[in-house]
This record gives sequence, structure tokens and C-alpha cells, in this order.
Amino acid sequence: MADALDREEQAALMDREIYELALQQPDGLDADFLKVALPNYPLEVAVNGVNRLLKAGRLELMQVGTRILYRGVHAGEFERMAGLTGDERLVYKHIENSGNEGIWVRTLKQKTNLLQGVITRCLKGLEQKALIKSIKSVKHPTRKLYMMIDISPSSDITGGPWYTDQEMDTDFIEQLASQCYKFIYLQSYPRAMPRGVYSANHMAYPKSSVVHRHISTNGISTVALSVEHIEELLTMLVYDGKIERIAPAFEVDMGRGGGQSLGTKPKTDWMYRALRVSNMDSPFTDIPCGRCPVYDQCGDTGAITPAKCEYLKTWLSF
Amino acid sequence: MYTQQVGLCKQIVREHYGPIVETVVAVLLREGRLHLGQLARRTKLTGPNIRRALAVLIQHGIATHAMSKDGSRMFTYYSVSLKSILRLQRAGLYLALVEERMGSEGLAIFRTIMVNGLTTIGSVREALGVAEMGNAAKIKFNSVVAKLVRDRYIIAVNPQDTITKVDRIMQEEAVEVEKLTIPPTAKELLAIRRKIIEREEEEYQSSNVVGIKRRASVDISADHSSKLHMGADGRTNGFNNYDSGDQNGYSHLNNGHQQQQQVDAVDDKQFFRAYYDRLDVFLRNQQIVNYFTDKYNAGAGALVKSILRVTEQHTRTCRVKLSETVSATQVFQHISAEAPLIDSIDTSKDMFHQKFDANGNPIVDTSSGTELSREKRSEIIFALLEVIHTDSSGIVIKVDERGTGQYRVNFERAAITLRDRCVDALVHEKFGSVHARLLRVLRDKKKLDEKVVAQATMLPIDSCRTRLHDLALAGMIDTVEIPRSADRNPSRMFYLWYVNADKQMRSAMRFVYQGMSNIIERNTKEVSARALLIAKTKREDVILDPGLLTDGERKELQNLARIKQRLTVANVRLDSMLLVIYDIDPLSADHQLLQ
Repeated sequence: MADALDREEQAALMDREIYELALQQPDGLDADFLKVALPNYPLEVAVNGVNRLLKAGRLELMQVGTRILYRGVHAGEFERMAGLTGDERLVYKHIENSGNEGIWVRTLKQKTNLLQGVITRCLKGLEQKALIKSIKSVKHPTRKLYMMIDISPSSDITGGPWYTDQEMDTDFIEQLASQCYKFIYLQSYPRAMPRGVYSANHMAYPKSSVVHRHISTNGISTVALSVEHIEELLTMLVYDGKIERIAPAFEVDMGRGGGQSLGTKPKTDWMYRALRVSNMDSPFTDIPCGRCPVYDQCGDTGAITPAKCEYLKTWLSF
Repeated sequence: MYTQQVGLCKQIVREHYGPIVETVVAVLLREGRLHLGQLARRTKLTGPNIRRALAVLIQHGIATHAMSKDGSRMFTYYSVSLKSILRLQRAGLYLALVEERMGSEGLAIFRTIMVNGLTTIGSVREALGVAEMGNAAKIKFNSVVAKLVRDRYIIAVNPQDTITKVDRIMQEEAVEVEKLTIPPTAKELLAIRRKIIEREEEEYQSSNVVGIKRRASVDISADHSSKLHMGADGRTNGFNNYDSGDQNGYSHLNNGHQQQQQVDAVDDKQFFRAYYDRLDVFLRNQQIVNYFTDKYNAGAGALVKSILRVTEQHTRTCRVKLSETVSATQVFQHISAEAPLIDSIDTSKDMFHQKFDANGNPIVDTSSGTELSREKRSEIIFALLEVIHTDSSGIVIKVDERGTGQYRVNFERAAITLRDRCVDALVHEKFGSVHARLLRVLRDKKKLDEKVVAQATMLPIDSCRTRLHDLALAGMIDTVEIPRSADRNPSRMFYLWYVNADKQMRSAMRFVYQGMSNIIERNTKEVSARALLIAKTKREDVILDPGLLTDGERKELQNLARIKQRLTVANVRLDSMLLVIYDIDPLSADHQLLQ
């Protein structure tokens, strides 16, 4: 009886030693390491200890190439995993490994080789225990991704500051772009000359870093924005025809860039100049035909003709 | 040719020449070249009516004719030029241009030629009653006519010019081929064709203008000049306000103390016609000036205007791709004294323009706000030249640093910039700013997948897709298929969006044609709705006593005048889009060579 107690105590002692060794090796340890680290115990005894720890969930198995490694499970993690079944634990591990990118159910199925029904049951169980959460990616809105509950999804998944609840926040973008345009406009023309321009060698046009500072310091945006985000906005404004890019060096041809496409050289520290947008009107602005909803159906015969047009009648009666 | 274009042409011809000519033009547009018999069958008009209609059209340079064999018989085939018809809409702009540059005298002469089509100067003289005017008015008339001819506002016409251009080239080609002993090879044929085109170009570029001759030199003393000055009488047509300061038509030769002048005299019997290609160059130049005025300011616009004025002597059609070289000094000399240069550019912080006193402190300019010193004026001009030549459009290019710098205008770039701007404005108006943004992204980045377009334009993918389809339906953009597998299965295909410039231009023109057509039709409707009232105003008794019109009728006439003015302005503005989108493009001008 006493021998049996001694053996149990000895085994528990050895288990503790193996567990502590495993915790010290975050990359895991193998049988050879145990043999060297525990020279007082025969290898069979040590392997039995490893098996006991594996069964209790204190160690977990890893495979690196052809090598089998054992990794110690921390106390907190152990508590979380305590109530999980084997399948749930497997699913949980894959979700944990996916980090802030999340994992798609189909990928999970491929990796775990579990049946769809089993995976669904496991995911439901894990969600009930508040261990994982499901999110949607802006890139693939129909896919449901799973990740650890305490991890924030990456900006690739959420879309960065331009997205709110997985939807592009166009109002926010417009507001911010309008603020950027106003800021650039104020610095694009000499204040003392309302219709004047700066000379070709003027180098004080705002750069994206300056616009970024303006947006950050004035608290225009509550969302943290990087210079790259501001550059995205400024590129949009360039395509809106509201501002233009100017190369910072004297000899470079003001953004003409030898036919280079805009945005192909993001490292260039462009300066930005606002354009006077008063000239955006078209001759079609003058007449109702420009915005006529039935313009394509209008002809010299039929129900819709210029002679019978109500829009033209209203326009001419002004 | 588009349905809308044909409809518009018919309306224009009806407005200018009436329904019979319209019928003939409609058939010729629909069917192509036809001879008299075919025209009679298709128009159901009588022979004399068709002949008269064709005479009117040939007289105004709209129709051309060519003899061709059909079986054993020779027929004269007639065809019409769409471009000439569409230009009728621009008459007001042309007249305003001539008035601006040639004064009221030039306008009177030009208008007479425009109204009568092919005309001799003798007939113009007769129509304007120059013979009954004083000597000064006669000399003025001659000098203005000479200037109009020399500057190619009007151009001499010979009988060959009324022959359809394609046929004329074919005839010349046949003559050249006849000279060869054996049938020509493809290479030889190409060389012959090139030679014909070059010959025509040489004739055009030649300084010997057809229809003009130099008279023997005459001595003109200051006294004689003052006599001319006093010789003006009270005749109309602008020839009564002769100013001796205007020496148009005279080339000065300083020969010791005596001034000698060689007079350019125009042959009275030579037929002339208005040369619209040349006038389109001026309209194009005006558009370029507007671009710089809008983008920078009136000072920059005045500067570009001055560059173009210096070079336009050598820019005779829109086919020219690059202007002559102009030096900054020339620009300085030619810029108008009234050009609004004050406060047009801020050079105070520019290290290249900053001046320092003996102590090394920057000198602050204290010149008054209304007057510019010569030095300050030149500083502003040179600084503005730097700004416009570094403009992102690349319209004004600096070719050399010699002296104060040598500049040229790239008309090809100008045409592209103006066209893109015009199309953008059209899309902006018809669809909105987001669609215009999409268009600019595709123009800049060429071929893109819709996801990349959405990313670049910062739009949700579904909204971006809808807008792309809107633009594609309107013909503004197009898709290209990139197969992922060899079977070219549509479900495994990348579809990339891009701007098909040619298709886009056609779609934009269709919009414009339709718009102009609508305006003309509405104008016709407004006039016909008041036909009785208009007829009443033309009655002799009403002309003699306008009091016969009631207050309501007078008000209605005023209303009609207002409506017509509004519609005309809208039409002229739409026509400027046509000019920008198609007419001024050097490439399309090349295509139009054979028309």
C-alpha cells in the first residue's frame, strides 16, 4: 500500500517536473530533450508521465516536420479548455491559430477533417462558452469567419477606418475629403490675391503628411488615420478633379510624370494643389436635356418629343 | 454617321434653306451619292426644283459633284458634306471672330461672302456699294479684302473645288498612273497617293496666295496719308470710319527718306469662299485660352492668347500638331497692354524672383496696384510662362532655354485635354460626380477589374458595379475579356473595364447631336406656335404703324425673342462641345481630309 502511494507521489512529482520543463520551452520539447533533462528517470517512465499529462490536457502534441513535440498548456488556457470535448478542442485550436485573420468554416473542415455537422456543433458550443466569435469580412461579405473572442479583427477583414459595421462609410469619407480639400485650397492660392497663383517654384503646397497632421491635431476624425489613409483620400480628390498632384522637385513636370499613372509611385512625397472648380459646368447644365430621365426615348415623333417637352416648357418660362 | 446627326443636319438645312433643299439633302445623306435621275425618283420633286436645290448647296460648298461612268453612260453624281452642314450652326461664332479681328469692315465683307456662298470680290464690292463710297473707304475695302485673303479667312475657289474630293484625288491618281508604262506596284501607288496629298499641302502652305496680286509700288507721303484720312464719307458697312493708323494690306519698305508701299490687290473676278478650317483654328485657340483662364486666371489666359496670336500665322488648320516656336520676349512684346496681369501671380516667396538690397534684405515691391512698371510686367510674364509650361496638361512646352526661353504649343495635347475635360463635364452633368470620378480613374489607370476600381474610387463594390454599368450603357466605357482557361468560358473570365476613346467620343457626340436637334425642334415649335403673330408683324401696315400691335401681342413678341435667344445660346454652347470633342482633334481633322 505504502509502495503504491510512493509510486503515485513519485509519478506526480515527475509529471510536475515534465510540465514545468514544457512550460519553459514555448516551442515544445521532444523525447530526446526529456531524456537529457531528466537523467534520473528511465525513458519509459518519462513517456508514461507525458501520456498522463496529455490525457489530463496539461500538454499538447505538435508535429514539426517528422518530429513530435509536446507543449505545456498554461493554467488559464487549461481552465478554458477544461470543459471542451476533443473535437471542440481541435476546432478551438485551429481558430486560435488563425489569429486576427479569422478562419472560414470550409477551411476549418479541410484542416480538421471533421464532418460539417460536427464542426457546426463544435462552433455552436464554443460560441455559447464565449470562447470564439463570428465576423464578416468586407472582402467576402457572404463568408462567416471565426476568431478568438478577445482578438480584434485585422484591417483587411474590417476594411480599415473607411468601414463601419462592415459597410463602407461613404458619408465619413465625403466629409473627410471635403475637409482635406478645404485645407489644401486655403494653401494653394495667395490670400492677398484672390485670382492670383503662386509661381512655378512655390514649394509650400501641402503634402499628405501635412494634411494628416491637420486632420489629427484638429480632431476632425475620431478614428485613428495613418498618412496612407490620407493619401487614399487625396487620390480620390485627384480623381474628382478637385486637386492635382505636383512633384516636389523643381525640374519635375508638375505631376505629368512622363505618362506615369497616378498612384504607381506611392513613395513620392507629392504636393497637392487645389483646382478652382468653377469651370465644371457643361453646356448641358444650361438646358434640361442634361438631366432628362427620358432623354434616350426623346425623338421627333412619338409621345416624348422636344416640342411637347414639359421640362423645356418650364425652363423657357423662367 | 449617326441617326441623331442626320436628324440634326436635316433640321439645320431646313432652317437655312427651306424644305425643298432639306428633302434633297435628306435623300443624299441617306442614300449617299446619287445622280439627278435617282434624286428625282427618290425625292419625288420636279427636275428644276432639284437642280435649284443642288445649285444652292454647291454655291454654299455643301454639295459637290463628280462625273462617273455607269455602264456606257456618264452621270454626274452629287454628294453632300455633313461637316459643312453642321458648320452652319457656327455662323454666329465665325462672324464674331471676324469682327473681333478684322473690324466692322471685315465683318461686312465676310458676311456677304457667307450669305452668298462662292462670290467674286467684284460682287461683294457691288453688294456693299463700295463704288459709291469715297476713296478712303475704297482703299480700306481693298486692304481689308487683301488681309482676309492673305490671312486665309477667305480662300480662292476654282472649278475643281466643287468636285467631290475623293473623285478629284482618284482623277489625279489616274493621271499619274497613266504616265507609267507598266501597271504600278502597291508601293508605287502609295507613293503616288502621298505625292498628291503633299502637293495639295504645299499649295496650301505656299506664301503665294491664289487670287492675290502685287501692284507696282506707290509712294505714300505723310500728306497723302492724311488726305486719305480725310477722304471718308458717310457710307455704311463700316467703311466710313477709316483709320489711317490701320495699315492692313500694306507692306512697308523704308527706302531712304521716302516711304514706299506695295499694295496687295485682290483679283476682282476671282471667286472666293469663307475658309472655315482656318476659323476653327481660332475657335480652338479660344478654347485653349479659356482653359488657362479657368485653371489659373485671366493673366495666364492673356499670356496663352498672346502665344497663340504670334503662332497662328503658321497654324492654318487643326491638322497642325505643334505650333511654331515663340520666345518669351516675343510674348512680352505681343501681349495686350490691357491684359490683367496685376495680382495674377505671387512671386514674393519665390527664391528665383526674390530681389535683395545691398544689405542682403529682401526688397518689397511697392509699385501701385493699378500701374505696372516695365520691369515688374516682364517679371510677371516670365513667372506666368513658367507656371503655364509646367501645367499638368502639357499644352505649352518649353523647347529651349535660349534667351528668355522658347515655347511651343502642343495642339495634340490641347485637343486631348480639352476633349477629356468636356467629356468629364458631360458625365458629371448626366450622371454625377462619382461617375466622373470612375471615368477619370479608368482613363488614368487604363484597364481595371471592378474590385480595383471600387478600391481606387473608395466606393462600395455593388455601388461601383452599378455605376460602371451605367457608364457602359451610355457608351462612355467598355469591357475587355481576359480568359482564365483556354475554353473561354464566360464564367471563368476576367472582365476588365477601360475607356474606349473612339467609342466614348462617338457616344458624347450622339448626346450633343441629340441635344442640338432638340433645341432646334423646340425653336421651330415656338416660332410656329406664334406664326400668325409673326405674319402680322410682317404686314406692311404694321411695319409702318407698329401701334397696330396690341400690348399682349408686343409682350408675346418680346417673350418669343427671349425664348429664341435662350435657345440660340444653348445651341451655340452645345456646338462648342462638338468643336472640342471632334473638330479640333488633329487625328479626326486628318480623317476629315477626304470629306
